[in-house]
Amino acid sequence: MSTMARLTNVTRLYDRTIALRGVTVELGAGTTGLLGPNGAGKSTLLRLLVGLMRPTSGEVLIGDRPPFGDPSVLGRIGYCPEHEHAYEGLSALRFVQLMTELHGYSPADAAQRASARLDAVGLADAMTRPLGTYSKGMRQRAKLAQALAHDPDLLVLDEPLTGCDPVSRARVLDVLRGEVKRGAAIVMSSHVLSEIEALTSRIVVLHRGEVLAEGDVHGIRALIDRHPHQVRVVSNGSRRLAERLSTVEHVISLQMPDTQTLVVETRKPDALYDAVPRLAAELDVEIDSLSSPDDNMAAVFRYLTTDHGSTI
Amino acid sequence: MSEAVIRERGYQAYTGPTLPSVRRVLALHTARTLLARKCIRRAITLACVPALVVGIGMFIAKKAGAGEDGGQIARLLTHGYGTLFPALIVALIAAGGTLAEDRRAGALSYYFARPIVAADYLIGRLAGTAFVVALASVGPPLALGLLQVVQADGATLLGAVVQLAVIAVLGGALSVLLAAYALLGGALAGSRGGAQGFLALVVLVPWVAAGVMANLVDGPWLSLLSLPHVVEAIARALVAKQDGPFAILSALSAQSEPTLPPAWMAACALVVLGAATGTVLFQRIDRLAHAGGDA
Repeated sequence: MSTMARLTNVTRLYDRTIALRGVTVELGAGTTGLLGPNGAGKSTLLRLLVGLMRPTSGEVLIGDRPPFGDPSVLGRIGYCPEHEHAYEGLSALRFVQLMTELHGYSPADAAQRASARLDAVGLADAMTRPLGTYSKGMRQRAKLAQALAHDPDLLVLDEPLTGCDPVSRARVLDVLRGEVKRGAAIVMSSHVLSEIEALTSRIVVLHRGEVLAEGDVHGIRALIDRHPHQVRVVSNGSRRLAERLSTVEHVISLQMPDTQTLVVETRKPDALYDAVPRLAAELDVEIDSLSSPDDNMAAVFRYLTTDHGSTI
Repeated sequence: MSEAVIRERGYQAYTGPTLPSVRRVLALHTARTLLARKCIRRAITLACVPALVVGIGMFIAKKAGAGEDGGQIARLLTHGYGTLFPALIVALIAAGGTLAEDRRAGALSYYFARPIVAADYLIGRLAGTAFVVALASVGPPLALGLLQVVQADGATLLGAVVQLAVIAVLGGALSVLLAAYALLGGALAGSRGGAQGFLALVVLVPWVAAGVMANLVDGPWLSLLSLPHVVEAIARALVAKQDGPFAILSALSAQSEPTLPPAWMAACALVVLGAATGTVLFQRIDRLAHAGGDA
């Protein structure tokens, strides 16, 4: 993974509050999801990346230069802040054009780029309307368009899909995938885990200003050995399967929410995935589905940010 | 216990090249946004009225064979019935519509996450705001002064040119300072009302108080804080009728009215007011720029 941005032992204080504590993380090409509950330090980390503040200690580098106060670095970044305030009287087109002009584009070029980006995020029909008349989701998309319009190398997006309806959300995700194909790196925070999952499996989990985990979500999940995995088996012989599985050493608990579904808790999910089909064949049970509700980002996030995860 | 290491990497201010167009883009955007407001356009129109009245008066006086105007056009800049009041209205609206609006709209995070440093933002915003204030403050007197230069004969040409230069320079300074006060209000208060209140406080209160207190205290010291008084003192000294080559020196040290300070003192006050306002404004914007964008 080529490194686009790097934070080394970064601490950021707000008066006496520690927003980030000794954070060291590398962000490469493609998309990185930044996860964490409110107050975890996600927005602070993103603001450090875009040079809106400097770390109290430690080092933030975009490429090989710190972004703080360096226009040559900041020109390569597109930033979509979390807040939804806007110039109420300005049209989305004019707003995005102005922001693009600030990167050195001529008014005509900037207007063309602004128009194309607003079209891409689904605001073609509304781009000449004042931002004050926009819904929350529309404002989010206008904010995203201003971050994209100058073709940045690094996109830093703070909760970019908040308020978007499912259709526009899918559209924006397509646009972001297009940006990754173009070669841009994306760092995106969200508290809606499915948004991150739809784009990437690479995550950084922040909690109370510290990095709890980073890497591939499935890999992180596999590292949490002490946490029992849940495996859900739907079959026409759940009771018989449950009887046999109760004798298996690594199975911790068995639940039957209905007559066809069996939820198994195990410390060795791979072994269970081997055992279930074998037992089903022995018992002549037909399996409709075998899935792990735990093997997703929500479960990882929930696990890591509760107290028992803090020792990882 | 592991060995502790402190690595102090530190940061240095960026000194590399910046994009030259950023200030121009911001200045144009500021001027355009302000001029899009009806109330500002009306204030600028209102500023033309006193200039028109003075112009008609001068035309009649000229027809009647009267001499020089005695600095009437320059006085438009600072007189309550001149262009000062409309210029103040423009500055008051600008106070609520530039930096205060950026803070309210959360726009600072958009600007400072781009290749813009605090000085770019300050200069761009200040230039745009000062231009619009100047349209009300300096525009009408300048047009009148230009007309006077065009119509001047050999005897009156020098006086007309001097007056035009005084209007341009002092009017420009007045506009920049009013714009700076307007931005400073936004930088300090962060709300439209607060920014406008600040501007009213620093311009109107010393202006009124200087007039009221002049008879109560010994000397026009309070008027050194009043921008209109300071500008008027300098303007009067520079456009007063001169009798000899050294008359300007006596004019600079003379008090033309009990409420006005000597011109040299007024000039010093203007420099101090400008420097102090500029310094505080820059420091405040620099701080806002590095506060994460949500200040």
